[in-house]
Amino acid sequence: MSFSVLVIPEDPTHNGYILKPLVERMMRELGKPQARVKVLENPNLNGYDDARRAITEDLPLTWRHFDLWLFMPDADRARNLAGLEKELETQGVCLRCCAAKPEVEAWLLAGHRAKLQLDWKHVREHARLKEKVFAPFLEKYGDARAAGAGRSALMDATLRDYDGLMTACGELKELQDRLKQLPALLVRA
Amino acid sequence: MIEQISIRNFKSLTNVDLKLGRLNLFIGTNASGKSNFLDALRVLQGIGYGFTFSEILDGKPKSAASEVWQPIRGGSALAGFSGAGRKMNTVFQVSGRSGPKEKPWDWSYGISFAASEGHLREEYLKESNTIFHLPAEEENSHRDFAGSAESQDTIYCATEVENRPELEVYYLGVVGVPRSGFTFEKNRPVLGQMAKLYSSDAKLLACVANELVNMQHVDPSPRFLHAYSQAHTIQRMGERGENFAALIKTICSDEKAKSAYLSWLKELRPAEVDDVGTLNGALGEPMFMLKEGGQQYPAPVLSDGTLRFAAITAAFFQPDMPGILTIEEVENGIHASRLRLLVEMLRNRAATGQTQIVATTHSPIVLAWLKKEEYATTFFCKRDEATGESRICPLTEIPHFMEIVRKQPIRDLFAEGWLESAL
Repeated sequence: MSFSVLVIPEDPTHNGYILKPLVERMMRELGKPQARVKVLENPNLNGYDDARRAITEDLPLTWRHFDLWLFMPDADRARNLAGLEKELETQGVCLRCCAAKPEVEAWLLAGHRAKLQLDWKHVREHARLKEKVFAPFLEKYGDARAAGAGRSALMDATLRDYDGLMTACGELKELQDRLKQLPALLVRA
Repeated sequence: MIEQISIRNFKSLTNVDLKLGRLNLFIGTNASGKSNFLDALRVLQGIGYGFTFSEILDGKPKSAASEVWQPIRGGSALAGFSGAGRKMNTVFQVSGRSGPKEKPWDWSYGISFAASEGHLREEYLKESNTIFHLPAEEENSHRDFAGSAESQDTIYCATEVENRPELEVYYLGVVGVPRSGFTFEKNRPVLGQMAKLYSSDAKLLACVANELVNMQHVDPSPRFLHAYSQAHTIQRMGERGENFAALIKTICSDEKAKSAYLSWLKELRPAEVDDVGTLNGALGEPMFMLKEGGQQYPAPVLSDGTLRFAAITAAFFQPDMPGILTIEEVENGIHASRLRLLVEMLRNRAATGQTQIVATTHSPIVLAWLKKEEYATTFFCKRDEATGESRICPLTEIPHFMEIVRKQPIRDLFAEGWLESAL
C-alpha cells in the first residue's frame, strides 16, 4: 500500500493546483515518491473556520484511513494549530498544519520573484496578496484558457527550484523537517 | 449575447421570462421543460437561418445552401401549447447586446406565429427605434406585442394581401409616409427576408439574424469521437462530434491553445495524460489520440467518458466559437469527483465573454460547486402535473431559497426534492 496524504486547503477551488504538486514533491524529498496525494475538494469548506470545524467534526470519520493529513490554510486567520494537531491525535489521525505566509499563493510566487518587482519580504507580509499581487501576476503570466488559469504550469516552474522555495518560504521547510520525524516517514531513513 | 428571453405557448413553456447570464444552468426532474427550453433556442436559430416555420419545426433536408436541419421534437403538431381548448400563437421575444465591447448596441426582437399552420402573425425588431413591426394580420385581432413594439419611429409596416400568402411591406421612412413596397412570404419570418434586401437597415437585420444563427448544440456521440474525421482541419465541429479529431488537429497546430486544452485533460486524468494529438489514417485523415506513459492510445481504446469530456472541452477551443453553446446533461459520462473540474471549465470559458453557455444537468454535485452569485442564472424547471405547463424560475427567486441554502447544502435541497416542493 502506498503512503497516502490528505491535503486540506482553506479554499478547495484553486489551491489544489498549487498544493498537490507541492506536496507530491515534498513526499518525493521524504522518500515517498509513490505517495498518493489527495486534495480535499469538499465544496462546503468555505474559508478557515469551516475547514477547521470540518477537521474536528466531519472529516475524521470519512478520511481516517489516510496516513497523513496536512492542513494548509492562509496564515492571516490561523490560530492554535498545535492544539488542533493534538486534538486530532486523540482521534487517531496524524495531522500536521502549515500556515502559508501570508497566503497559499505566496508558495507559487516564490519561484517567480524576479517577475514581481517587489521586495520578497513585502510580498510575505502583504495584507491582500491574493487580490493585489497574485491576481495581476496570474493575468500576466498565466493562461486564462487553461485549468486553474495556468496555476499548474507556474507551480511546476516554482518546483524546479525546490531548494529555493524552501529558503523563500521557511514554513514549508519547517513542515518538511517536522514530517521527517514522523515514524511512517522515518522508515525510509 | 441574449440577455432576456420570453416564451409563450411553445410546447410546455406557456409563460417563461428569463434574464440570462454568461453561464446558465437548467435543472429539474425528467420532462420538466429543460429540453423544451433548448428546443426554443433552436427555433430561434431556425428563424435566424430564414427557414419557413414548417422547416424549422418539421425539419429540412440538405440542400445546396444548407445542411440537414433536424426537426424540433414533436414537430409542428406539438409545438404550440393547447390551452383553454384553443391553439394559441407561439411567441418569442428576445433582447440582446451585440457589437464590440467598446461600442455595443442593444436590440430586441419578437415574433408570433401559428405553429400548426406555419403562418406568421406578428413580428418586430427594435434597436434605438423600431426597425420594423408587422402587426397582427386581422383587424381587431389579438396583439401579442401590444405596447412592446409600438413606436412612432417605425420604419416598416405591413398589410396583408387578401387571399394571397404574402405580406405587403411598406418602407415608411422617418416621416411615416409609405414608399416603395416589398412582398414577403407569410410562411417564414420576415427578419431573414428583409435582411436580404438592399437597404440601410439590412446590415443590422443580418446582424440580429446572425446572433440567432450563431448557436451550437454539443451532444458528442461516441460513434463520431472514436472515428477518423472526414476533414483534416476544421474551425467548428459538428453537433454530434463530427470532425472532432480534425478540430483537435486544428487546436494542436497552435502551441498555446494546445497547452491550455491539454491542461484540462491532465486534470481529468492526473498522472496519466502526457500529451494529446492525432494519428493519421491512410489518407491523412486524423483520429484523436492521448499519450500516456510514452504510449499512444487512439480514440477507439479510450473510454466514452474521457472522449466526451475531451470533446466538450474542445468545443471551447474552436477557432470559430459560437455566440451560444448549449449542452444537454453536461455531466454525462464524467466521474463525480471530476465535476468540480467541469464546473470550473464552464465558468472559465463563460468568463471570457465570447460564448454564452446554456446547459442542463441532473447532478447535485454540479450544483454544489456553483458560487452563490451563479444562482441567479441557475434555473429550476418544474412541470405542473394538472396543466402540463412548465415553470422556470431562477434559484434566487424560489421563496426562502437564499436563506435556507446558507444552512443546508444545495445538493441536498436538490436531491431531496426541496426545490420542487418550494416552487
